[in-house]
Amino acid sequence: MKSPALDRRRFLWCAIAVPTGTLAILPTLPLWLSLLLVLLWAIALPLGLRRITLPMPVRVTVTLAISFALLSSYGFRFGRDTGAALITLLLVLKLFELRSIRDARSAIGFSMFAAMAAFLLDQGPSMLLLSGLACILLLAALAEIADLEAQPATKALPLESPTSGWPVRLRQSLRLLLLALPLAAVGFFLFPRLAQPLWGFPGRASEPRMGLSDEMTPGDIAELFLDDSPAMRVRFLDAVPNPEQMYWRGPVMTQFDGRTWSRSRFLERALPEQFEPLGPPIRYEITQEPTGRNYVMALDVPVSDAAEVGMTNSRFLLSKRPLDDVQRFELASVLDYRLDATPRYLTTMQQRMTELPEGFNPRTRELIQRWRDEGTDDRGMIQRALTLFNREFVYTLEPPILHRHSVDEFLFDTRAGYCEHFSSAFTVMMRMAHIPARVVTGYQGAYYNAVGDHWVVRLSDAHAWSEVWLRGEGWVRVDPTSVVAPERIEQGSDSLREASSWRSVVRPLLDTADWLRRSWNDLVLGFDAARQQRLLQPLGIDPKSWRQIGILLAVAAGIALLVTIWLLRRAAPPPRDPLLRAWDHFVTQLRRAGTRWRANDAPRTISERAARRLPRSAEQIRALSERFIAWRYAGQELDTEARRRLQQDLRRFRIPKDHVPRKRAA
Amino acid sequence: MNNEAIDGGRFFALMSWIERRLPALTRLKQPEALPLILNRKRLYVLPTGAGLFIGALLIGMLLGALNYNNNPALLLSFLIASAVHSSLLQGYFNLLGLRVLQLDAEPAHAGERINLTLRLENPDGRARNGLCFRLDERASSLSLAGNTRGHVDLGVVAQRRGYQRCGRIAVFTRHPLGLFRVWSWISPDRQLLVYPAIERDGPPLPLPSTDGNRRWRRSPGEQLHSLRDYRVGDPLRLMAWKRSAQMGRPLVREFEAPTGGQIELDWQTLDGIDNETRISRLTRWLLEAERLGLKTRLVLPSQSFGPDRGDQHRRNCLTALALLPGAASGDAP
Repeated sequence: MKSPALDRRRFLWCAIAVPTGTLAILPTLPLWLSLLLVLLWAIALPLGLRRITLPMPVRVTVTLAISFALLSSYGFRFGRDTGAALITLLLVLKLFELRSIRDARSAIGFSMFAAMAAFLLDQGPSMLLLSGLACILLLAALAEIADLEAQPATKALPLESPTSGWPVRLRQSLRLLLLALPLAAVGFFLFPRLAQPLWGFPGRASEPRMGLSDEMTPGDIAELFLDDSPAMRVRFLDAVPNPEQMYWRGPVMTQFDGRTWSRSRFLERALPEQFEPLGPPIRYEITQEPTGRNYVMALDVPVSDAAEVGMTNSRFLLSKRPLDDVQRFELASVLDYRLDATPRYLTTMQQRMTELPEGFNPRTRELIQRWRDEGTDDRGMIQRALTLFNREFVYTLEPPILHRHSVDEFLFDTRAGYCEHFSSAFTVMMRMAHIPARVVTGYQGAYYNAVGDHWVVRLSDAHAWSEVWLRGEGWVRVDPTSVVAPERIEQGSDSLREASSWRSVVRPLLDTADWLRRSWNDLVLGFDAARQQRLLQPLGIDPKSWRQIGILLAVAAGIALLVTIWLLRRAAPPPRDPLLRAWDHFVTQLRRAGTRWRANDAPRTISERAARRLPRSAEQIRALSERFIAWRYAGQELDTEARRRLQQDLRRFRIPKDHVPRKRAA
Repeated sequence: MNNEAIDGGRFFALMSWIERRLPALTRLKQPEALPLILNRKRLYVLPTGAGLFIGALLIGMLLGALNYNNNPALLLSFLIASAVHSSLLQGYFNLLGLRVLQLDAEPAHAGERINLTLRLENPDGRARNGLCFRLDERASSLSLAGNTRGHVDLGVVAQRRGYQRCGRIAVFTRHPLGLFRVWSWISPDRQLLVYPAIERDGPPLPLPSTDGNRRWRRSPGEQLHSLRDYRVGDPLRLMAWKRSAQMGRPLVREFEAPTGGQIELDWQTLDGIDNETRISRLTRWLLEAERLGLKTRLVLPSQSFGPDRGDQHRRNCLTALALLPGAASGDAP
């Protein structure tokens, strides 16, 4: 049996609702594809309204051609993004053959799926708004189609009746979603989360990478400094360290090829270090924005690692999976610590951490040799290097370009740069002096959001510093930037920008927006198995007992259902007759003109009183009220046209302009 | 009136198949007196095809969201699933508490359609939309605003003269999203009277010759009384062709006979043919005579009517004809 055909009105509903589900995916698509999709939609719409269906071979060819182009632009790799792009394309192409009720329903269903899939690409609150909108439209379209099914085609459809206009339809759909909230909340908070994914975890075919990278070439981070978007948000559970103490430790770079610093995955595993905390641990939780990499930024230095996170020997944290989504970590760090090489590996460490490529930076080598010849010890070397920076160097975000002997050029010629240049040059100098040294990248500082009582680390807080190893002290943090531009460390990256009054005005707004975003991250994105357990524990529920969780889920769902049922069964107040509303409008006009009446006065009483008060309009007032009374009380049947006219006349009634309400004498 | 869309034909065909296989299901469906209220004991819910499809998609969405540990996706899936579930509840409450007040029926001749009017009341303040009713392969729908009454027109084919059960009416709704079908059965214990079939081709009404000839000519004393819808068996000469064309449906002239002729229709005179043919011939003659404005006297084996004319007389005669021995009793299923 053929599924009944869709009429124009329902086609329009579907043609608007179905692409809305994919709207959230659109920005992640290649530009050419987004434009093409919009174009296709603009073609499909008039075709569908005129019920023109393109011949099958054309549709198949177009579908195959565009799908092929799409896949080739993703390099034929299948990831979540390829899938999302494909489903978007197919949904838009589906509009070209959306002609029956069954077509419409399947398109709506898949569009819901697309709205869900969009979250696999981005989880921001703006996505939620878009999918919320999509949900409302899709449910409304489903309801429209169900109505089409329930209405005999031969009967004149009450298209113009106020019960089926699109605002009413959207309101009903919104109501349905609101009714669904209690049950959805129960499901969301209590439904058991999977500790392990059921199947593989396909990543993206092309991953956007943000923030710090695996390597550091001086001159790299510069674009980060201009990016004010948050890298992570932090909430301290105990004491809050000073902002200048907030060094967020990222990847530690130990290999240098003359130009670029990079991690040595071998040393991170093979070179154990001894760690001894000297102060109380500080507990905090961070919510890190997606980076596509594994680095978890902990306060220098972390003492514990969370689940899903591993710690390297040089004490930075790596997550087990790339951070494709916003993720929350609970961490603890100590600010005072002693990190030393294991005696057994001391020589190896000294050897590896002083390695430099041959044939680079001869002038620097010469300078260090001179300092050593003057009998400077390790500490003195650090001091002299810092003094050198302090005296003659300039902190700038737009440094001159460096060539082969980058450290030489930086130290003797340009003498201008930012944290990467300083830490790189400093580390090279230390290594030349046979002092083990390495570069640490990460973030420095944080911005306090008073609205949310949390700290925001922004991409512009990206930083690089050095660690040198001193006998008897272990690894010591040295931040050469702090001697050149101390305000950078004390005031954070804000110091690099001119303070403007504009910023101070919008700051509370920005803070609030950031707080909302953090709440979203916290409440929705960060709600994982661990948080769920903490929610269950006070209720005395053992999170590992499926039986108990099942019972709790059933009880909570039952309560939510009762709420929904109660809301559903409440009678909506019947809408007031528009004619009565027009009459109300009319008598309000009369009152403005000074006629006094009470709610229980009969219409004729009111109109007589008004007629006496407004002699020039008396005829009109009497005529109008007689017409109204005839309808309301004498049972006179009015057809649609007569009703409309009476309604209009009542509404159009105006008090003559020259009438001045008489004040009644007291 | 019949419409593929509201039909739900395949579903109810499946249901009747199941009932044939599992007769126990039908035991609740004994005829019952109106008015009745659709209570929860008699409401059934099953997902429609679209509902199953959306359900499968939702399971896919939930698994995907759980697998990726993606909370917003999970939230969205739960939200849609919960909205779908609320639509089930909404559909359920759409039928729950609906009052079926009465079933009006006009008697019809065997082989014709009996027009039924089912009167309903919505006793609650909330509106009930998209209520569908299905009887005898045909469906129609209705929406009721809060605290209002309404009626829906149904029809059933009259089988045999005598009494006939009206059969089981399916009340169902797919409101609001079309994902669930909530339904109930009403079997009103209402006997529908079926008049005998009208004989198709048979000898004409034996008119008294003088009277009859007079009738076919227009005499000044005869007044055009009114126009009415064409009925099977009306003589073509009575057709009001011009008016029919204007109104778009066949109309015939009806005359007020200034002087009532009289005719006797006697069961005994129609000898030599079987009883059912006799009955349907008498029926046709009765109707024809009535149309011509003649007084009739119907003589049946055990009773006689008239001479008289008019609706009441016609009804009495037709009822008597319908219930002559051999009529359907209606009590048999």
